[in-house]
Amino acid sequence: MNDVLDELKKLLEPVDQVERPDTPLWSLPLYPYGVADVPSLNRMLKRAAILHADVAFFNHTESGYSLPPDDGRYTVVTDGRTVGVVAGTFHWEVGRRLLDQVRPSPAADDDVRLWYEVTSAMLQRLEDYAGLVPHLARARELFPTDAALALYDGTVHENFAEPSIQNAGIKAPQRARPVSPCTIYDCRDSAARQPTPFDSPDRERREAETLFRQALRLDPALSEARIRLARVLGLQGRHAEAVTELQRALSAEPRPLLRYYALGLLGREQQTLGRRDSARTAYEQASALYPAAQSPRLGLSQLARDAGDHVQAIAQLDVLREPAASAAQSDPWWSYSRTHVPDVVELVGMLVERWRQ
Amino acid sequence: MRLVACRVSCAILLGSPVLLAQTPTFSSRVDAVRVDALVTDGRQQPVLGLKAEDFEVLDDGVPQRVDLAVSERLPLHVVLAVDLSDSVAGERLAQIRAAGHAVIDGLKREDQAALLTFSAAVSLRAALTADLARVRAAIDDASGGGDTSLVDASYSALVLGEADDARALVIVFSDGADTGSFLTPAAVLSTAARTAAVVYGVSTGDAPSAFLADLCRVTGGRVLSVQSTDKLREAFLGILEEFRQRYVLSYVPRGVAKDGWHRLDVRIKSRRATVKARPGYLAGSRFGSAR
Repeated sequence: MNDVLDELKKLLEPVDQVERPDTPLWSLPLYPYGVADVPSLNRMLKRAAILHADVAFFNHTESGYSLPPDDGRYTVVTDGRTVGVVAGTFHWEVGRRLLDQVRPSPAADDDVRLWYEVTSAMLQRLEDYAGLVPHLARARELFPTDAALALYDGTVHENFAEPSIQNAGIKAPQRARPVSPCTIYDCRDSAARQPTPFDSPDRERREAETLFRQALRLDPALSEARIRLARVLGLQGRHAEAVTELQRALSAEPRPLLRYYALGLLGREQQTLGRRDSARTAYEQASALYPAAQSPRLGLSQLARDAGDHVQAIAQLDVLREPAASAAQSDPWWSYSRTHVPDVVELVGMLVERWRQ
Repeated sequence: MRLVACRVSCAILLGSPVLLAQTPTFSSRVDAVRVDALVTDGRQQPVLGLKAEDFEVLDDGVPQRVDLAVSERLPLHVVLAVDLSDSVAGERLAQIRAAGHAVIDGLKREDQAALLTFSAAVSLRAALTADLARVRAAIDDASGGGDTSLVDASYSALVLGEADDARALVIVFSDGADTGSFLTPAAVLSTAARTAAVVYGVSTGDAPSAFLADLCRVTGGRVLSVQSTDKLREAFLGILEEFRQRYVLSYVPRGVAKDGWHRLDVRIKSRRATVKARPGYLAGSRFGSAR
């Protein structure tokens, strides 16, 4: 990766320091459009950034990153088990550096902002945190008042508090081992040399809360931020506050997926507060949105069992009889950690449509 | 109430559990308490042949009259809850299957079994059944991948195994911590405190999950740590054998509050022995009763 970046730097070095010291791309003798054609240059830069995002996204595989060995060491965390530390693909950085050249300023360009929103959502979908953390850092530097980016940043910290990351063994790298199938190289050695990239669950959740609240100050209608805020409040034992935020989110949110998350979480919080009837109502409403989903039915089963109704408790567990292959696609709870609304497909569609114009 | 008292008395009058002509039934009264207890001697060997009068049960420190103590004559409901998440594949999966088969092979004609597997999804591969061939087939077909919903699966196994006329043994195998459940550990532990099922956990890796350890403790079971999955078969069979050597005590609480958490102390009179049983129960629900 360093070799590639060194080459990139040469490309960007100013040839004519006297004429345009701060715009090295203008100086390229092979540049076909002429130094005054800013819109065309910007267009080229943006399309190149999209291309690099495409390459990065499609380079990713289910079991890890299919990079040749000289692209560096990296890590995959699978089901709470670590296999090293992610270095990621260089394409995201190339994309960022290209867009840094947008004139008059990338921070003033809506296309650049949308690119960062879309690619951040892509990285979250891939759960590529080594790629996402520096990506979001640059994004938030450029766009500090973008509510979606604050939400994504908060989501990273929310996820860093989870056992699936915390248990990854990065804190005890001597336990790191490859997971089969594994296309990762030198992962056992890499794990021992990399620092812990995340903090304790409490600190991560507090950071997530701060970022979600920031997102809501920027856009009070951003329901997803309110729902995630409620979840981290609940996980910090602040159940009454969580209920308030969830009820507020539900009062104005029509989209089924977000309503499902909010209702499921509301059921859990109400149950914790001993409000069984309210919990039951929330779970029933969640189940009505996704009838094959296990999670609200588990909640209803538990409420029934704790009230002494074993027959109803068993009946609610009928949902477990679904074959695992189809069940995996039928409960959105299982993709909560990597899902944003609008989702990646929708966002990419917006980006492509906009840049085709 | 009179009819129930007669049922319990009849079971005692018939003498030791070995002489019972029918499977003993416990009191169906909502407030009857069932306690599943393992009694061992100084060499950690099970003590067998004890009767109701050999036991002393203290409910919140108040001595109770043990109405019934039976062991082997009760059929078992064995629920296997097996982790099939991403970290379990290849040879490990084969060893898990072999361990599951060993447990099924160790059951008697009157016993029933169920198979749950879990990754992100909890799957009821075989509902509680006396048709053990169906359970064996389900073990062979099982596969998975994804996160680990240990808490959700443990809850499901607890509830699925419960019954008035049988003893519920839940064997949970997992090689890691929960990474995907919807139910919270605290809520499931609370449910566990209301059931009569006993949970034994088997864990590979450096340390069992805290949740699994707590679940076993709350239900009067225990966690076994094995270094690798090739020891699973031995661990599963050991659990089954130990469970058969436990006693099931029944009593109707007297002189204590009708609801809330109750501390339980179970001892053996007039001899040295160690008793492993649940540390308490939550009254106000159908503890030990499924209907």
